[in-house]
Amino acid sequence: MSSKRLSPTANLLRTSRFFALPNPLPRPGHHELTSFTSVFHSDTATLPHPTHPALATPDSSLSRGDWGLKRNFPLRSTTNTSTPTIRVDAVDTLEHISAFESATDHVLTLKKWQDMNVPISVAPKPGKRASGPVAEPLKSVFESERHGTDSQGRQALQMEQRWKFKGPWLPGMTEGEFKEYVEKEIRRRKPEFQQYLRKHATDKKLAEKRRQALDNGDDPATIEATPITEAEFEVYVKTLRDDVTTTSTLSALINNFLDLPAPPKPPTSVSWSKLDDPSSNTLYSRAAPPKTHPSAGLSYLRTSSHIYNHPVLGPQARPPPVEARILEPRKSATGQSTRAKFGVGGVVTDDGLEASFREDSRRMDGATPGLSSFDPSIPGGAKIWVHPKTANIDSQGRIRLSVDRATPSSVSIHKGILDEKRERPQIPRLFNRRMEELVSSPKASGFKGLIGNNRGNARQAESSSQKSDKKVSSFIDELGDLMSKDR
Amino acid sequence: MASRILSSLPARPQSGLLPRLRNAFSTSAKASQDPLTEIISSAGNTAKQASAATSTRTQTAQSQPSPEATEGLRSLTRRLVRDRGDISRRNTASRRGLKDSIAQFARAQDLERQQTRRWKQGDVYAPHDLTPAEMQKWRKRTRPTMDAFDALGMNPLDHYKNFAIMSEYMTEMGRIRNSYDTGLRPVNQRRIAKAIRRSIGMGLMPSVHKHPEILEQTWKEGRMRNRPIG
Repeated sequence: MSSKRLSPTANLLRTSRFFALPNPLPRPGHHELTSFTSVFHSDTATLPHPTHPALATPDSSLSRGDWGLKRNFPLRSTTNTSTPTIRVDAVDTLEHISAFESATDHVLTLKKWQDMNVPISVAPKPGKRASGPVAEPLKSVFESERHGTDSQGRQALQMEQRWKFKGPWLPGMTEGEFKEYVEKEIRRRKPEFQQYLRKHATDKKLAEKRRQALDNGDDPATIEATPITEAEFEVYVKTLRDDVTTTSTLSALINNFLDLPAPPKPPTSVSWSKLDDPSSNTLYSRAAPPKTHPSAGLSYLRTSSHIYNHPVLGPQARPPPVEARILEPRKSATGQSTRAKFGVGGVVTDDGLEASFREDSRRMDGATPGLSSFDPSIPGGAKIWVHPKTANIDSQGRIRLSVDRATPSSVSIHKGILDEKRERPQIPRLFNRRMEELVSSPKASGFKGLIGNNRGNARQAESSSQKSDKKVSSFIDELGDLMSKDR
Repeated sequence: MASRILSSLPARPQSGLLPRLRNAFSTSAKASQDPLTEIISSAGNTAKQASAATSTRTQTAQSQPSPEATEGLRSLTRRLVRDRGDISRRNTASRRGLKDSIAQFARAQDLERQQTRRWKQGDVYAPHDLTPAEMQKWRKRTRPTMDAFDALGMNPLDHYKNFAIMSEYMTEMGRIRNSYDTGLRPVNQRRIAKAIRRSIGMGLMPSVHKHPEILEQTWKEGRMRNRPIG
């Protein structure tokens, strides 16, 4: 409707891609305060989160180099890829050039992430252990109580559960930043705050008068608000300033006025002994509020509590494992960490297991070449099978993923090695009997690739799984027949 | 790691020789024909396998004594005399094996040291982040993008007695670092330079090297970093 009133040029601009491009986010970790001796950095490294939107264009436009921006982009650099997506650093520059680069890194990371089916959960409260007997179940970032769409939850949400604030997170500021903030931002808003305080004092005076009227038996609705005098206001401000505790009215007023994340509650006499007690802390007392929505748009799943159903073996306890790259082994020549670093779908995560002298963990390490120490003889680098467990986005916008090592049986099920002689997975009895019948039946047609996908080094597995594949395919044919008969 | 190298070494050839000789004196007809081939084949194997083989042969020898043992013994001694050269050759082979595994280990360490990026949890990587060109960038120290003293709201001149701060803005040879390296704004660079000169002038810090306590600390850290792994 409004577009009708606009001129054609304005309308064209309004609907253009140029206007739809948001301002880029600040580069992560760019202004990190670091010691002079420890600044290692690469300006071309993939960032922990994207700062620019990734643009795509239909094939017909791509072949002309048309990306809907000021000028066309060269075909050689945009079409010589299987995923033609770009991010635009500058639509136009002084040199009459549109600066762009490939956005494939983050586009493919997102795709791989969505393939893994990991929902994003709320970061565990500070001081709360992620595991252990008293571990609270992790909640999705899309839970209604966090969403604040219900009328009851809204009040609490405004104070505590919100993730977006106008004001800065004071505990995360350095001394210098805080001084600058006070001098540049706060000083400017002094008259505004005086007005805010005055309004608060007037409201308080009115409420007091109404309460007195109620006590005297009068109708409180008849009491009108009277403007507060300068002397009264000064007295009121003095009483406010006398209270220097963090729970004082004045600090609550400042918090509301500047829209700051709720400060940590001071420990009560009971909780002095355990300062990390989560009940005494608000969500953002230790870690800054997140920069983006807590899901960061990575996944819109609310839960991972669904059962993966294997076509032959039935319901499985865990979804199929994913192959992770061992980026840093346990004992590296340079690192001092006892935990290995895995790359799962392009995201770096710590190994869930710490190095120990326990027999079983050592045996597990031994089973995976390249895990305990770097092994250059493995073609393509060392890999390990893992189960992605939980993930959350921290205040810097980085993905915190936790993984479990996959068991050998789940790996062989995923690879489709269902050889009886080797490790035999637990097959329900009903399926067993059905399988025997089916194997003897003459029906068998190609249905290869349905069970597991023999990726990569599964060449040996293929021969042993061919037999079982046959069984599976005939079984599935039979199932289909039965179902059609039922109809 | 060192233990792994040791275990992968071939066993010393002489160690298992005596019990095997003893077995050869009293062995069965079947066994008497091939103790030598057994010895020769097992000499190159690991100590564990050799000892296992010996124990089984001892059992068979005790259960079935043989009249043809003397014949076996004679051929054995003949072969032993002939094979004296073999043993020395085997010694050099074991030394070569040790050398190989050390070279292999050194190669792995070399390659690992070329992976200069220290991965942190939450990093996102694409294939190009694993390339040598990218790793080369992580090797170099870059200048800080932020003035450290401004960020902390500190005046360097107030900290002239803090040799830990001063040493960070000095070279190994005691020279004041350039603002290109330190990343300080001009005012703070002048202040830190003055603070360093002041503390040297007062005799609180040496002028031609870093403070001894800092040197000791870096020496300890370096020793930790270069310690043998495993």
